[in-house]
Amino acid sequence: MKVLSKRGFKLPRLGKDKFVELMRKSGIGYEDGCFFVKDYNNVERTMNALFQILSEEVAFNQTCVLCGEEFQCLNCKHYDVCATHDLPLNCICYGCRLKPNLYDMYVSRFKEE
Amino acid sequence: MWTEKYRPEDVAQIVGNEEAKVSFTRWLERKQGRKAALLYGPAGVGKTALVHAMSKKFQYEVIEMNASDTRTEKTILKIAGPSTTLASLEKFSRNTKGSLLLFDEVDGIFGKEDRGGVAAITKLVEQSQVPVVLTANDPDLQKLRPLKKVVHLIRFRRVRIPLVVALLQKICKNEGIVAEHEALEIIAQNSQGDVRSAINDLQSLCKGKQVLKTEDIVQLPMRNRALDIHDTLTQIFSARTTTEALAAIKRSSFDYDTFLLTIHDNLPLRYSNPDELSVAYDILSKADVFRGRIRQENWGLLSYFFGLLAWSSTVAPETYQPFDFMYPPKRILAMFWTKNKRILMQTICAKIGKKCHVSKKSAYFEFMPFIKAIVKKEGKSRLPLWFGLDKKETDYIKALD
Repeated sequence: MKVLSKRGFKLPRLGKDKFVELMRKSGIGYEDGCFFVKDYNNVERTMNALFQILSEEVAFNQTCVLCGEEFQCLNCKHYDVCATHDLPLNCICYGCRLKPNLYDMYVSRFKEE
Repeated sequence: MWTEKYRPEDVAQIVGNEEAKVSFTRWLERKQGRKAALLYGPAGVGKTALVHAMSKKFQYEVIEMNASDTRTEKTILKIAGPSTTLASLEKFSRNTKGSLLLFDEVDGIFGKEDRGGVAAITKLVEQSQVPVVLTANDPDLQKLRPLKKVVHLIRFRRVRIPLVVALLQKICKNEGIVAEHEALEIIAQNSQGDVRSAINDLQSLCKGKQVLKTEDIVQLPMRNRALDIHDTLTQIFSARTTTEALAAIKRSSFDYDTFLLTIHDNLPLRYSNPDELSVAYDILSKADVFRGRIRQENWGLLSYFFGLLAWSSTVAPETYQPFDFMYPPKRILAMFWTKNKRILMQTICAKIGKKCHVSKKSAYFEFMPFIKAIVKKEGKSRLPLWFGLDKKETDYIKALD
């Protein structure tokens, strides 16, 4: 399984047609030599497109909404029940889950933004 | 109700769907294109709450029409029409930016009571000078397709379990309840990302208690949530056994014919080996036979229909590789795109039938080939005039293959 970061990842050389298709249809953007997830409406399609290119299963790192750290879903105890595991989304990292007053931290973090 | 008591008043208080929140903020700030936004996703994930919280933040006055209102063309244009074209009086009297139109649960517009509703909303969206926001659970419904073309789509997903747990912890703290962390996790898992139902479950379990233990959760009934089309297709095509695929089919809420067509369209994408594909189509053809018999009120055959559908998708489970599902089915799309042409042809056949005292069907099959040949051959034939066909209808006949 290939683990990627939604903020930026490298892909092997694709060729013009494949690159254009990836940009137009798969919700991926390209900047400064790195690909990134641009459209979050259909990330399943993005994952499938990356699977076709890399010929192996793809999982995205999760971003912690509280500390910004990137982590993997694989060790999460909710992995089997989570409908969105491995998608390039946000969650709470294993370290932050142990902290008290998580909701207040979440609210204050988004108020800052 | 705790769902009312803890209704988010601020955008930051809504848990989950951070990407959707950003996308909606950008749209509302008019940084992204279209006049209307369609927020879609499962129930209880904060779509309507986000609209209200954002309206408050950006000082919009919300004019809401939800599923409990009658939403016919007439009522929609009467209530929402003026606010889309005229500046709200409140804009002058209070410190607001004007109105924001919210059509909640637009996929619930159906039946005689709501006739013309979707068409009226589409018209409003195109003409509106104020932001229009629509919410829906399933945007893939056929009736919503005209709307999807004119709106900015924002997808909401089920809220992640740790975030739901964080919210439940906060509620317990505010209500003075000491809850075991595991108990809250079970409630969050059972809600499957539906924050509203998680809060409701918590309230029902905490009734008359100050301490919530894991043992108390036994009383909680399992929520059997219907799968959306993408989850259904993922589960049935990636299933290792037919039983697994069958369970996914039974959990989906799609009509049988659409489901059959969807599996039909996706089989060539699923099986690259021609032998496997041929076996799968053979099984699917048997499912189609059963579907035909079920139509004649033989509902006892439904389990065989489901079983065959599940079997066709698990002919070679070891060869599964993720692929982009084809949905809606090609046939339904073709019907949608040719709708105007079919209506025009029906109108022409009705006129021919009336003049020749035959049914529309006879007019189409027995008269149309000759009329077409005559009109094409004689550019200025008097035939269309005699039938009462207008220029558009005559041109359409001339353009027929």
